[in-house]
Amino acid sequence: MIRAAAVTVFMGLLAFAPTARAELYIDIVSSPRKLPIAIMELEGPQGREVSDIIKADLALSGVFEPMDPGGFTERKDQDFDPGNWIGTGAEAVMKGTVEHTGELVLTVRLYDVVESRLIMEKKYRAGKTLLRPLSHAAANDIYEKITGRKAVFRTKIAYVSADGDKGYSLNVADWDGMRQRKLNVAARSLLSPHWTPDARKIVYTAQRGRKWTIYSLDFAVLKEEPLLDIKGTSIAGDFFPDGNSLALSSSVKGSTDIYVLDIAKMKLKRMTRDMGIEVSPTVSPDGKSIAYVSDRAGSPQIYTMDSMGYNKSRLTNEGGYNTSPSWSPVGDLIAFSGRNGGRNQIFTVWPDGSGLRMLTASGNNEEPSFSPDGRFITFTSDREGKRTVYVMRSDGSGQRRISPRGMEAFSPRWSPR
Amino acid sequence: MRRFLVLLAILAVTAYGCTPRTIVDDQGAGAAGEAGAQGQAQDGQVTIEPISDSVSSTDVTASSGDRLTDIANRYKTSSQGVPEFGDIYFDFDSYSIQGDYRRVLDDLSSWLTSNNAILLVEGHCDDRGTREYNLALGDRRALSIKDYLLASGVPDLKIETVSYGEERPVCKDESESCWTKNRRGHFVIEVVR
Amino acid sequence: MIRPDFQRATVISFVAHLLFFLTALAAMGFRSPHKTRVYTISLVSPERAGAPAISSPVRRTPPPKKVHIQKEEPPAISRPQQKTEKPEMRTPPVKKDLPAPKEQDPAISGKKAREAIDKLRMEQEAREAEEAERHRKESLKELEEKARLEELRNSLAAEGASDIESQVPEGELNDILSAYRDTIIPLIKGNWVFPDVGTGIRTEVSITVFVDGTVRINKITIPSGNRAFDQSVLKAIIKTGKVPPPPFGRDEDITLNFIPVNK
Repeated sequence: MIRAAAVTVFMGLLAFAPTARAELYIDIVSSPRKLPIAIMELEGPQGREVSDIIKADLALSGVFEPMDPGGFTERKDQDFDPGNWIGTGAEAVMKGTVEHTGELVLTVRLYDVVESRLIMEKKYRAGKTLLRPLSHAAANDIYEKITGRKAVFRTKIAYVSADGDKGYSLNVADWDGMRQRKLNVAARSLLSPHWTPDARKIVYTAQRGRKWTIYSLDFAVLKEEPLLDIKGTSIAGDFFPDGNSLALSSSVKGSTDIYVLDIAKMKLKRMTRDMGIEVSPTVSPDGKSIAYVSDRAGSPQIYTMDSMGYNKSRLTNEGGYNTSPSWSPVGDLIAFSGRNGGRNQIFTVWPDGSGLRMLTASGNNEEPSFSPDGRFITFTSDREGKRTVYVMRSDGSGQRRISPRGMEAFSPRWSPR
Repeated sequence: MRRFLVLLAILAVTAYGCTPRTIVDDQGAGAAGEAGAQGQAQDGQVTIEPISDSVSSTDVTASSGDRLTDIANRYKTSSQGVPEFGDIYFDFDSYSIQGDYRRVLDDLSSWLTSNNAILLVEGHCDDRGTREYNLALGDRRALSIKDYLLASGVPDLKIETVSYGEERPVCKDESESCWTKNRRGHFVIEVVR
Repeated sequence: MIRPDFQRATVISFVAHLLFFLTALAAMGFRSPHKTRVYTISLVSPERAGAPAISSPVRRTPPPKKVHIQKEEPPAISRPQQKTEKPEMRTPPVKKDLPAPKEQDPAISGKKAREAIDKLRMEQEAREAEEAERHRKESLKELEEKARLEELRNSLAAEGASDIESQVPEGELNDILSAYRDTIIPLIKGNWVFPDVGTGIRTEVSITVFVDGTVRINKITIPSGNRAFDQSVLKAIIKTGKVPPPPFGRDEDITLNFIPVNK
């Protein structure tokens, strides 16, 4: 018996021994496609509204292609049957219910057609008035389940509006432009707001009297408080990732320079000492670098430096007028406004200065700001005549206005979450 | 007064793009002003263009009365007796004082030193740049004017600056003439009694 | 991959051994009647007085070494006298008594003769038992040897098959593989639908393509870090189902490397 064992072990070893074979290794390289997805109207009151919001979110993301319900054989009240979907081209199907039981309860079920099974089932609850945020939450989860990445359907965009001669106001809207609300802030003039990393406050620059002062507004309290009230023009820039420091520019010493404010200690640290203009600091997502505008070369260009003010280096080399930089929260791009053919357009460039791309062409386009996943940019555009707030994907596709028609709106900033 | 302004505007347009820049280190500005003009270099960083020979501080001290009468005649005067010094204009993306406006600044300087008043210099821009950069540019323009005045003897505490960037245009057309009008330094004088 | 083959080998080996063991024992039982030999003993011979002459036992032709399965329990060696069932026994059934001596020798009889005969018989039996044991052991060894050679042959044959590569010139080998690769890629790629998840990631999957063209997913050898993306890759393979049979007439292990790029 031992011999038998020995023989079989020997044979087993033989089978395991590396043979003189060529390993077949195949690369499959492909580009993504928009995923056809069937978003069915939900059962229950306002079921159509909810599915419309989810459909719009998924379509605007550029990742999905919601299918025309006219082609569906399955009804919303029927159980999911993969047989109804195989061959339609749908990769996934969403169904669910809406209930009004004092509060809103949304149940969403997501099915994978190829695997022929339920891959997600979730319940969402909120107050009656929160149908839109509820729907956006569901869209977020569908997006994340299928792509493995977080979506931005619950994020917001803050922007400034001009109310004729009455002055300026701060506004906040959902990322799709809906639920636009005026904040309790008004001033002769307001500059672009900046969100704290936890999105609980915004910081902005207001001109009151003969000064430009930086203020902070807590959303929970809706009361503004001065943050930096010094001589000259102080313009708020980006927060550092830990939320404890704010990059800003100030003309307190005469010409405008970049400073970093330690908020707890109320200490200003000077980052540039050039004789010209240094303005508009934007902070990299790892907090180690700052991109800003400087005219030290004779015309405004984008530069980068580290967070201590060292290693200054020029980023933009084409065009004679480049301003308004914004660093993508995923770090791979810096967007800015550059003068081209007599107009301002939105450009993106890699942090090493290469890969320059122009994303807009119509009218004047300025003041870009990235979404937290780096896949979208909001910006100011006057292509319709007066200034309005637009949104596009960071490759320039899908440009559309999100500020209300007829409103003069500009200087937008995307919330970090 | 209006004709004067139009003349200035035409001069500004024709003089577009040719003026070398004045680079001033803000930290050296005050000291340079007290020391007078004529290109004193401080810390190797300050370069002040020499003021034209036609104007020197001696004019003011020697015959200030004559000069002030001159000024009163040249400018329209408000009910309070304050001359309406007109806006001075800048080239696109520039904050250097152009030769044509030195006369105005000199007059302003003379008047200020002889009167108890505070000057507010406003810096403005056309809307072709972006808001934040333009705000900084307006500051820089106001600063250029202030430096010039300080250099000609006006005490620092009599001059304040503010920038309005592109926020307070005098016109909103997309035209060179309108843009020019917006790229201005504007003076607001408050008499102290 | 070792385990199923190892198991199989163990089982085959065990069965083979069992088979032989059974047959060996059966053969022994088979052989027992042959232990009875006809001895012609002339105890008295006019020519040789005094010494009993024992002629060498007449040996029947030994039974063929054919192994066959006995239904009943084969007899133990120590009981040579047990009857066997086979009616076609070439040897007469064992009797307690020796076959009657030739009539020509009536002089031998009595206890002494019986004792002598018993002794002879016992010696003979012992010899035969020993021989049987030796034969059994030899047969077992032979069988094992046979089995080992068989297995060795098989494994060498397998190795021999893999020598195809070395037999085909390398350039041609690569061409064959490239051609096969070119048929596989569009099939799987055509079924690969995935959303924009960015670039700079990849998923590596190990599969086996069987000779009939069916595909088995072995495992994700390098996950991308994005589970949804990994899922899309598996779905592509599942959706593809069958592919053309591998080029060398044997199952082929393939590593697929899925890479997303921008348009």
